[in-house]
Amino acid sequence: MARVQVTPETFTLVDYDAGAIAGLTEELAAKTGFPDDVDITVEIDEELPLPLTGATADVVDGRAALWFSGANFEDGRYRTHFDEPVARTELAIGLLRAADRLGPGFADAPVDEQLSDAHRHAWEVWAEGRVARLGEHTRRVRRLYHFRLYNGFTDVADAAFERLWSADALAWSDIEAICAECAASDPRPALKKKGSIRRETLKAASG
Amino acid sequence: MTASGAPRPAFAPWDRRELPGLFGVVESARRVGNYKWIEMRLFEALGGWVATVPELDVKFVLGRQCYHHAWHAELWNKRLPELREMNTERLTEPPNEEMVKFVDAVRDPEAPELTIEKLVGVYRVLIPRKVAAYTFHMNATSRITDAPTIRSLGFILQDEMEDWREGEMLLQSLIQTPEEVERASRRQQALEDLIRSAGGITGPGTLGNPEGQADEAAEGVSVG
Amino acid sequence: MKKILPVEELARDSRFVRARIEDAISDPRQAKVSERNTGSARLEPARPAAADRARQLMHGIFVGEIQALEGAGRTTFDFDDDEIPFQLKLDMARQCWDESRHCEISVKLSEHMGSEIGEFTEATFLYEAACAPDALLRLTGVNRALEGLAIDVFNTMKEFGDVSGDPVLAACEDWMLADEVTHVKMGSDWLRRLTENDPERRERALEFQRTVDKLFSLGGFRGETDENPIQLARKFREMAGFSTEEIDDLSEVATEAQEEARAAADALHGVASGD
Repeated sequence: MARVQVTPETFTLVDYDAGAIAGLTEELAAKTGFPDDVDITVEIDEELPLPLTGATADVVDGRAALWFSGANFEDGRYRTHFDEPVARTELAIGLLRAADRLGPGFADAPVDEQLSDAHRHAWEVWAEGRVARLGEHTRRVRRLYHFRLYNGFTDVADAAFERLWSADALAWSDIEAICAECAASDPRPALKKKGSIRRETLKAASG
Repeated sequence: MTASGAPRPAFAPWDRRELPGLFGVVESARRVGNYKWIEMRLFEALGGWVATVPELDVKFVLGRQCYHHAWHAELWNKRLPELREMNTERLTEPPNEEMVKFVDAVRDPEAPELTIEKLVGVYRVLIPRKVAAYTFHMNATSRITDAPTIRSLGFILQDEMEDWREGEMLLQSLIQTPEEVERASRRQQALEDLIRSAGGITGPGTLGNPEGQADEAAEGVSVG
Repeated sequence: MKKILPVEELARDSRFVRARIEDAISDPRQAKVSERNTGSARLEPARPAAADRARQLMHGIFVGEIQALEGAGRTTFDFDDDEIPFQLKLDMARQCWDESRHCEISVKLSEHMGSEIGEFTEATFLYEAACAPDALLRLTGVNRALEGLAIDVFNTMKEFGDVSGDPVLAACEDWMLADEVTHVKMGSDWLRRLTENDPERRERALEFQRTVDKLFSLGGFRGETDENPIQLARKFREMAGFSTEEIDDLSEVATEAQEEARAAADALHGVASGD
């Protein structure tokens, strides 16, 4: 069995190639230092178009389980087309976050579906900062906007973003502490619920 | 404190305004009618061009300046009825047929690759001519009798100078190759020739006529 | 330069990619997504993918503002002095400046949200509605329908800025909203003045507006239920001179558009799945 498995094997709604995505994942796994002995599954929900982005990175039964909305790999200018630079960033972020979960520092982190938006976006900032230092294409200002949306449009949040973006090593407790610091200075009322677009969650919400 | 009732001169020592100016009511109204006409043709062109230029910065500047010239046209439209002639439409006209040809040529370029031609017409030929005509009017007319026109000229000239500078900077940033220098020069030369034939924004005598100044001054006294 | 510039000739730099609204409607993923319970469609931070939704909407606002600028600009040029009143031309020139500012604001807001110019496609249906050969139709199509849509969109974005605590977004949208209310009012006033003695012409113009309004409802994009991302901004529409009856009519038009789009998607899905 191949180390990287991409689902679906054939895309019917978008112009994506599972083999090419598997190849990119292999390449980025090597580049990010992802452990050689851990299998990786990449599940892509091709039904979701831009702007319905979303991604999760978990460790399930000892393998990295990456889930992406199809929108995360879509070229905003050409409907259903694959955007390789963006896809590379997304895959690298997922791999780094899954690798974080394999270490002891993130043993206490809830699975992605149970993470708050604030925590997930903070963690993704740290991951994308590391991707940038690997020389890959990144979207720093977009990431900052996402981070601010869930951690506050405040100077404290902006300073936290800088720390996360440039951090070399963090543990789950650091992410929690940074988000708590942001929350303490955020004048907004706490969000009532968190946003998620995973099919399973949506089905559950409808029931 | 000034003693109550103490007489003071009607004009302060530094107020050097004089009577009469070079223009009478009729001449001032004729020129203002020409100004309104050219401002209208210019704001229409800028508005029309917005959709035809691909350069975003140029697009936004044209959109902004379109209104500047519309406002100038509005100022002149308000001034015209104050200059004895109540029929503003009659006075809203070009000075001659040559001016119509010049304006048609300025407004002619349409294709998206002709931004340089569009901007040269406005910023290297038309607006400099307007600045000259407005400046002459401001310097030549009486600052006492024609003060309302002068007040408008002051506002308008401020706009024109700023717009001219902005347009020239856009052009300098667009003209990057010897071929583009050639294009800009050729375009300017062709339009200069046309406006020379027209005699300027208000026709022959736009910037005055040294031999005729005495006559104009006399008209100013008799009519104004 | 010719009068009446067709939409195909709108000038853009290489970053812009034009989309057709039919492409979106025929995308099979649309039907799939509509089957999912995604909860309220209102733009709010708790909504899934809220940040990227907001970014894409902001880009849509940006290209919409460009087309509104171009539409107003063309109206200053396309009609001779004897075709439309001088004062109407001046109003269109003023609108040109306002739309130009809105473009600049939208570029800055897009940068603030981490978007690049041309990151998303540009649909040109706004300009298409803005280049009618009859000036009166432009007033209804642009000033009442298009600018009315802008009121709804800006109010939605302003509320999103408020609820997400984004002071830059909320403040900028509020400024733009103020301008759009003026533009709609301008359109309403001119429509009344130009058709004072011609009720039939007025009715034709309003019928055109209804058609454009339906188009701008974008199959449920705009409306008054939780299913509509863009909410009808009743208060601001009233400030702009729309009567309650007109807003009620628009709400009905939006509902019709949503139902038609749903039926079309169902039909397409049925064909695709062989039902």
